[in-house]
Amino acid sequence: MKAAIKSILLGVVALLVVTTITFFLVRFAPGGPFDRDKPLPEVAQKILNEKAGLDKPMIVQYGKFLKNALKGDFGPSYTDFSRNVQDVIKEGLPVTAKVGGLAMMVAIIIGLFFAIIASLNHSTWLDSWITAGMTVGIVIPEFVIGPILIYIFSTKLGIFDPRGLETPRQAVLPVATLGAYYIAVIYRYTRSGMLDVLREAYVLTAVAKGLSRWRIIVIHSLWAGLRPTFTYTGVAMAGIFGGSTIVVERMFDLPGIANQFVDAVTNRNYTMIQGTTIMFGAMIITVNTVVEVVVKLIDPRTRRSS
Amino acid sequence: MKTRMHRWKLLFVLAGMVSACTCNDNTNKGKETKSETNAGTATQEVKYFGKVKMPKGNVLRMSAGPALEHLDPGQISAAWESPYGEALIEGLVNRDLNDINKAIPGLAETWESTPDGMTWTFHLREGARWSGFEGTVSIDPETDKVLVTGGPGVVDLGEVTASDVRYSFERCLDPDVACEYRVMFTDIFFAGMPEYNALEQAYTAEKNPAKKKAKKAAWAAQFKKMKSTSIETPDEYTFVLHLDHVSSLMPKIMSFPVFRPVRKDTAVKFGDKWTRPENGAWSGPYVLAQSNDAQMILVHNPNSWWWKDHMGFDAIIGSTPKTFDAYQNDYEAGNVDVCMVNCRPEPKMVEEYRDKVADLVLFPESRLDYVTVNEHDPALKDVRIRQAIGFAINRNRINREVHKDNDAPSGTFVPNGFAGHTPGDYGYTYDPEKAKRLLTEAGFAPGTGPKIVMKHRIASRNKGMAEAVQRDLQAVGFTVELFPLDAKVHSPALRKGEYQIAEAGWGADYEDPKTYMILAVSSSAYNYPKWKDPEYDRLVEEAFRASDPTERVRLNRLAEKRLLDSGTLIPVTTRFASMLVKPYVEGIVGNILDDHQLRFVHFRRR
Repeated sequence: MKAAIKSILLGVVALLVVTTITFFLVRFAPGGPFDRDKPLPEVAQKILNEKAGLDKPMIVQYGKFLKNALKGDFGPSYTDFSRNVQDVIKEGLPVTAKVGGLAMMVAIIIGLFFAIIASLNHSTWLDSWITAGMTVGIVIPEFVIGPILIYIFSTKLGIFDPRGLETPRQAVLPVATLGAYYIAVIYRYTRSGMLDVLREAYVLTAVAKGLSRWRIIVIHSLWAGLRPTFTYTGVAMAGIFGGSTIVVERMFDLPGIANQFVDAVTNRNYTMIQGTTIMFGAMIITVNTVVEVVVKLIDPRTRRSS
Repeated sequence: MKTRMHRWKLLFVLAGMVSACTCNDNTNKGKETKSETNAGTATQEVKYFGKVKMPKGNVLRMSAGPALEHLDPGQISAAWESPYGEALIEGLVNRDLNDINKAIPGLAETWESTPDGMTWTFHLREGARWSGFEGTVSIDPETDKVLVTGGPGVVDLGEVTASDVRYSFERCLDPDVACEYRVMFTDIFFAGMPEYNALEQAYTAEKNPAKKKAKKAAWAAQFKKMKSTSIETPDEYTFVLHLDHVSSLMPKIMSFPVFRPVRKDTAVKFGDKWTRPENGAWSGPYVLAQSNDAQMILVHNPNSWWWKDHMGFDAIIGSTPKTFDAYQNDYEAGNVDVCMVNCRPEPKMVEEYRDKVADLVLFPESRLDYVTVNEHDPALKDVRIRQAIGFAINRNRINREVHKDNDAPSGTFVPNGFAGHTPGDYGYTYDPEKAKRLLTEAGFAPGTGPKIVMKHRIASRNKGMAEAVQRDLQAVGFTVELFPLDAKVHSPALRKGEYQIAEAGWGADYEDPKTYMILAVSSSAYNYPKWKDPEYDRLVEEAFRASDPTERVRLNRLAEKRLLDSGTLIPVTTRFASMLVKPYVEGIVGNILDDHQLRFVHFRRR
């Protein structure tokens, strides 16, 4: 409990530092939110800057931003004053969560399945083929896998849609593209963990006692072998909410939070950048803390060592 | 052994399936058949880029570009905002589908002007209503049925009145409102605008805070005066505009976004948020029912008088993709119906499929790509050096290699044929020998020239043009260093004059040469090299006021020649726009302003 609280407090401090750095960095970057390809009349630009509070000294802007941020108010989006940043984030977050969550779920199921098979058939052709196949997911990046999947399954075969996430037909390709890497990594972690555990004396004892293969795997080996996988999954989920879905969101035009962030940076939409940075930071801290607590709960060894 | 053989067989079968799928000729996909499209008998095979699947319902799926910044007509400035804006809010007049120069009735059923053309009276139609939306809309993906829950859907919000029109005009002229297209009031010679403009410029130029405040007050006073002298509303159905001079743009210009009325009560009550679906008041054939980062849903407005004589959709889903490739993939898969304006095919795709597929529509557009030359820079002070740049550029090759033959090389400023304008015997041609001679006359050793930096935007089109210009200039003796800039930084740099030469672009707002000429007028914010020529300013103004078309062309030619001779603006190409439109979509017509009115669009069914 103490560790969790300490973790949260450190996370909050880190969040404050990141937010502050971001706040000032974006304002020092060349170009402003109301600079356009076709420039606005000078008067119009002045009025908009005043409306956004950008005519005030930076430290005054920062104070106002912090005060409002603590209330959960990140201000209006500078590219559309009719919308508040928090409302835009509320739209984007479920999209990112959906594609990331589905990808992770698929990755866990497929990764675990093949890892168990491979570890039980260690050093056979099956193990070699599976491992070689999984290497594809690690070696080939998303921006290569995605277009290949789109070309084959959408353009040519017409089985799935190349854009969107609302229907199963739309969701398959982005989830597969994002999940390919996680499948491979979860497979490797799990296989490695399982192999370590299967060599343990207590497992050999279980075999010698004549326990069923199923019981040996599921009851005696899998749980312990999953510890590194679980830790990785937590880190990966934190990464998903920290923007690692950006390639998939861009490729399949998903209106997720990572896509919104990239747009905000391109448009110098200060309020949106600040809001999404805080959101990313908060999500990473939350997920990491949850993972830390759960790992300690499920593995007594970590409690003893801490 | 047997197991190994089976494994290899399986692998070969899989490989064969994949290669069979990938070996088809791309242009055969989406082959139209009678059963698929119900589009009438076809005796000849027609090829399409995307799969042609007749939609199940009456919902249009389209994209015109990225996320909208404004739906408020007083703030609309981006080309891709325009189709939606027009569908939601009408102007006093609309434009004819096949002739964008021709005004047809909109919110005003009739109009007339005094014989001298100085006063225009618009009579609002009785059927002009404001409508809003209450509830949540969704579209059934299987049937395309529009479902509304939690509310009645489209609701009536009352009549459109002359007070709304007056409020809308005044709001755009209000010194405290950031209205980008306020300049349009100048372009129609709105009464009082010359004094208004002078006071605005004086305020903008003033640096002393105390004097600035006084100048603002003077400007605001002029605005207040114009409220009573420039606009009249004798009753709630009559709107009167007084002009300073006769304007050839009247009345068609009243369809332009900045002149479209908004509902006064709604705009005052909700401020910036009045365009949200739950707050909005709309006068057009459609009503905004949903708007988020990914898309908008416009639903049919049963209160609109337009539907008495026209067909339309139950709903329009306007996607605002951040990645246009993904949207085009969806078009190819047959899931969406239209990609246009800023969601247009890339030059390479156009090059590949031009004249091969029937759903790729190409048409001349008014956008000009040019090189701006800063005459105040010491290296470019000599006009001969600037003119040498103009003659060194190989426009045909740029069009061929960079734009894949999709555009038109242009050595003159106003596109040939635009609004009746034709250039005279002047302009830039590709003449590297002349360029070298000019540099020699300017004092450089033969085959040499100054060292200059060319700023350009990082988008592939702009970068490609900059690289081509660099190559051409270096061939005649210039030493050119390229300086890439993000679009957000590029324009401010040009505006501040922080450049030597730079690539730039310009698009027309209306069909009159002045929309181009204004670029180089002394007081223009877009006159990046700050070139000042009072004679040019006078010629442009006189041309705009001339009622005789021949005289207008003569004056515009004189002005254009002066501009081109100054070497501060070097035209390169004018664009051809492209869009992807499924064969069953009718009413989308390519036009020089690339401005499309969704009110005319419907599905073509048997």
